Amino acid sequence: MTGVGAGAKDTTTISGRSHAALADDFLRAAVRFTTDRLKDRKRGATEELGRWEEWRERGRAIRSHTVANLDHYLRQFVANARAAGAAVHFAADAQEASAAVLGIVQEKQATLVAKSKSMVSEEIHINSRLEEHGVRVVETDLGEYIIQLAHETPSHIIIPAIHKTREQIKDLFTHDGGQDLGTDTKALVAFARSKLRETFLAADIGMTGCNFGIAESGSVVLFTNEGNADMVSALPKTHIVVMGMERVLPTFADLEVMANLLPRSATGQKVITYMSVITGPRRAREVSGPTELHIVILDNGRSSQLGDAEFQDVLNCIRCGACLNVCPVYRHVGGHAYGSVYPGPIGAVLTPLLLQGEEFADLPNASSLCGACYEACPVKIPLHDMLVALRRRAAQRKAKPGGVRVDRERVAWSGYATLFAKPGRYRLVTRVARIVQAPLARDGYIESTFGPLVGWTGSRHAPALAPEPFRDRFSRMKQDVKVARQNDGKAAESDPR
Amino acid sequence: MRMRVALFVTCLVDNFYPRVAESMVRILNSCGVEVEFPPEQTCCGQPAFNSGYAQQARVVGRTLLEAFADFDYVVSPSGSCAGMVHHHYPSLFDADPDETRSARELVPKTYEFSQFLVHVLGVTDLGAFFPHRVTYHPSCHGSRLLGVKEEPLQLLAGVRGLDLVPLPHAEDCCGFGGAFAVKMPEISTAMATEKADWVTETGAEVLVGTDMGCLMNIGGRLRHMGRSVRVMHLAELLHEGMEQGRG
Amino acid sequence: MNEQAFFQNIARRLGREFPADAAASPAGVGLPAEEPERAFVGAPDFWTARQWGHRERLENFTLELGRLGGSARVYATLAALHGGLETLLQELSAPLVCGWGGEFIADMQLQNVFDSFAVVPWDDEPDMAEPFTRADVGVTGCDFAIADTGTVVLLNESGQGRLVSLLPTVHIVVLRASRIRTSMGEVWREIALRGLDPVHLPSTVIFISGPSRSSDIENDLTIGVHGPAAVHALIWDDVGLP
Ligand code: SF4
Repeated sequence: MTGVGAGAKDTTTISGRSHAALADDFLRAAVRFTTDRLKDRKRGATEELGRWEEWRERGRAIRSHTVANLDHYLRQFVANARAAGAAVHFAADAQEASAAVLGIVQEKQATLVAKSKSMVSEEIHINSRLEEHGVRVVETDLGEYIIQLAHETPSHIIIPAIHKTREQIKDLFTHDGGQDLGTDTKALVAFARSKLRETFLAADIGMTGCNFGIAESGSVVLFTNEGNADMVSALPKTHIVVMGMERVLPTFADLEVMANLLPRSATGQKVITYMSVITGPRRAREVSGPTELHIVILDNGRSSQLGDAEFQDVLNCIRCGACLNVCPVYRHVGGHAYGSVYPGPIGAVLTPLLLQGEEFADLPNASSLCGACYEACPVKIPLHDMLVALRRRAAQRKAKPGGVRVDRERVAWSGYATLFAKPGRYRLVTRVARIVQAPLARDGYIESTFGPLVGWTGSRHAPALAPEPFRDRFSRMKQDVKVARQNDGKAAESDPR
Repeated sequence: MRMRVALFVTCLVDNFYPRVAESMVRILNSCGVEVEFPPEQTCCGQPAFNSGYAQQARVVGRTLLEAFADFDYVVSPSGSCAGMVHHHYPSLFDADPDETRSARELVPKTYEFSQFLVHVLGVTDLGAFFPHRVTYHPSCHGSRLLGVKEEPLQLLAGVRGLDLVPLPHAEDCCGFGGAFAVKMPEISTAMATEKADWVTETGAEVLVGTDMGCLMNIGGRLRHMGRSVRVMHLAELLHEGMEQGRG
Repeated sequence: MNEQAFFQNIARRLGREFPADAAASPAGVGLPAEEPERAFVGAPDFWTARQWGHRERLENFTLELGRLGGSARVYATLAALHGGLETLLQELSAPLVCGWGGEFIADMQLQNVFDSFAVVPWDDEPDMAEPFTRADVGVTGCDFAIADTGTVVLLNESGQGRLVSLLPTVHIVVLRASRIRTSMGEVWREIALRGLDPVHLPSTVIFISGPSRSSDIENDLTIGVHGPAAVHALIWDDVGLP
C-alpha cells in the first residue's frame, strides 16, 4: 500500500498506517462494498435459520466449555488422531512450528507444497521459511493466490483479497500467465483453475489449517467453498495440518452447531460448500488419499490466555470474520492498517495478547467501543470489553517502574479524577473553563483549530460550554407536576429488564 | 408512596447541553413525575474507564453511588452513561463490600430516558406535534449494550406531523467513542464524515438521537462541512413538540 | 516442544495437575480417563427434535440443492433413473466420464449405462490418478444426503475414490431417497453407530453442498473454481409415498 502525506511515513502505529489507507479511496470503497454485502447476507441467513440468539448462546457455551477443559479435549484429540495413524507435533511458538513443517518437507525431499488458506500458517510465516530453503509454496485459495502473486498479505481473514479490484487482479494474472485475460470474473477464475490444477497434481505435499479438531475421533475438519482444501488433502502423498491448539470441539454433535454458525456468520451462506472430515491417513482398504498425515499443534501465546478470566474466551473464536465485516474502523482503514496477521476487532484483541510487547500495544486504541463486533460474534466474545481490559493493562504497564517516564495520559486522567471526585471542585473547574473559553466561543461553538483537542476541532466544530450549567439552573426551575397520565407512575408491566 | 426520581444529568449535558436536561424535567413533570437533582453527581467515570484508567474512574463514579442512594429511579439522557452503570459498576466497585452493594442497587434503578418513559411510565404518546422531516441515529451503547432499540422509535411514532425517514447504515458508529475521537482523529473523522453524509442524504431537517456525545460529534462534523441539519436530543424534540401540540 | 510439557502447561494454566502417568508415557499422553461434565452436547433441542417425514426430506433436499446452484431430479423407479442418467450423459456429451466402481455399480444397477457411455470405473486399485484427472464428468453415489442443506455425504472407501467427485467439471450423484436424513447431526449419529474408531470411520468423510464457488474477485460469485462447476443429483425414490 502506498500513501502520501505527512502521516504516511509513520508505519509503526495504527494511526500512521491508517493515514495511508484513509487516503486510498478505492481501498475504502472496495472494503465498504464487500463488507456491506456480507453484513446483509448474514442478516438474511440468520433470519432464515431462526432463533439465532439461541444458536449463538449454544455456540458460546460449547466453545467456552471446550477451552475451559482444553487439557482434556486436546489430549483426547491427540490420542485419537494418533490411533488413526496421524503423526502429531507440538510447537510452543511460530519458530518451532515452522521448524516442524520444514523438517517434514525436507524429510520428504519435497520441492512443491500446495497450500489451502489458513490464518495460522500466516501466523507462523511458513511460506517465506520454506522458500528460503528452496521449496516452492503455492497458495490455492483464489483470494490467497491473488495475494501471493501481488506479494502482499491478506487484509481479511475470510476474503484475503478484499482490497483488490478486478483490474488489479487481471494485471496480476496476465503477468503470471503471459496473456491478457480481460476483466471478466469467469475468465479470471478459469485461468486460476487451470493453473492451480497443475499445482495440485504436481505437489509433493499438501498443507492446510484446521477449522475444527474433533476430540472424540481425532478428526481434522476443513471448510472451503472452492474445494481447494479437498484437493490439497486428497492429491499429494503427504498432508500437513497446522492447527491452533484451541481449535478443538468435543464431538461431532458440537460440529453441527459450528457448521450452522460459521458459514452464516462469515459470508451469509447457509452451508459451506465443502466440509472435509479427515481422520488419519488413508486406510489400507481405501484407494485414494495421502499416506501420511502430520498435525502440528501450535501454542504461540494461546496458553497464556488460559486461566485468565478477562481473556480466556478469546480462544472461543472460530475465525469467521463477522466482527471485521461490521467494524466501522475496519470499514474505513481496511486490514493492512492493523499491521498484524489478524486484523479488525479480533485482531486488535488477539494480536497484543499473542505477541506481547509494545509493537502492537496501540491496536486496542483503534476502536470506538461501539460493540458491533460483540453483537456480530457467533460465539459471543465480548471483544469491546477485552479492548478496554487491554487498555487497562497497557496503562498499568506504563505505570510500573521502567515504564514510560512521563505518562501524560496518566497525568491527565489523574487530574480528571481529582477534579471530578468532588462536586465542589467540579463546579469550580467548569466555571473557570467557561471564562477561559469566552474569547473562543462563537454562536455556541468553538471553531478554533489549536490546542490539545486539535484532533477534534480540526474536522469538527466543538460546542462551547453553556453560559450556565444545568445544576445552577435547576435550583431556580419551578416544576409544574401534572396529574400522572397513563398508568399513574407505577412500573409498567412491559419492562423487559 | 410517591416515587423519588433523580435526574442523572451526565457531565456533558450539565455543562454543554443544559436544555436537554430541562426538556427532560418538563416532560417528566407532564407525566406526573417530580424530578430531583442530587448535586453530588459529577460524571460516571466512563471516559477514564474506557481509556484503561479504572482507578480514576472509580474515584469519580463514587459520586453517583452517593448521589443516587436514596432514589427509586435514576434517569439519564444518555444510554452510554446509563450503560456504564449497568455493565461496569458491579465489577468496578467489587473491592469494597459497601460499594459493591450500592453499585448493585444502582443498576436496576438506572434508566435511559426513553426507556424510563416507555417501560416505567408506560408512555409513548406525549401529545407532541412536530411537523418536520426527521432522521434518527441509534447510539451504539444505548442500543447494543443497554438494549434500547425500539423505545425512541415508539416515542417518535407518537409525535404527530413527524416524518421519520430511515437513516441508511444507522447502526454504524458515528466515530465518537470518547477519547477515541481525540486519539485516532483521522479514523474518527472518516466515520463521522460517512455518518454526516448519510444524514444529509436523507434530506432530513432534523437529526435526533438519545446521546449527546454522538450528537455533538455528528453535529460538529455536519456544521464543519457546512450542512444545515438541526441536531436535537430526543427530549428536546419531544418537549418542543409538546409545546407546539399545546399551542 | 515436548508433548508432556505442552500438556502440563495447559493443565497448570487451567489450575489443574496433568496426570503424572500420562505425563511420563513415552508413547504420548494417551486417552484421558474421565469426561468433563457437560450440561448439553451439540445443537439445541428444538433443532434435534425435528421429525421430518420422507416426503419432506426429499422435497427439502431437492429445493436446497437447487438453491445452491445444483439440480436434483427424482425418479420413481430405478429404470427411470437409468433413463435420466443416459439423457444427462448424452446432453453433456463428455469425452471422458469416470465413476465409482465396486458395490455402487451393482447397487444402482448401472452396468449397462456405464458400458454404453464407456464410463471408466474406479474399483479397488489404489492411486488411479490417470485417467481421472482428465475426466469431464464423475458419477458417484453417496452414503448420506442432508435435507436441511442439500448436502451429499461421501465416505472414502474401496470403490469410492475421492477424486471422482472432486476433479471433473461435472459431478453426478446417484442416490436412493432413503439415504436422505434431516440434519447433519442425524448423519453423525448414524456414522457414530458404526464406530468412530479408525477401523469403522474412513480417513475422509466429505460433505458437498452444491458446486464449487468463490467470491474472491470483487465479491462476484463464480462457480467451478477448483471443484465441479455443476452438481446433479439423480434420486431414486426407493421409499415412495408418503
Ligand atoms: S471474534 Fe467472533 S466474530 Fe470475530 S472472527 Fe472470531 S468468532 Fe468471528
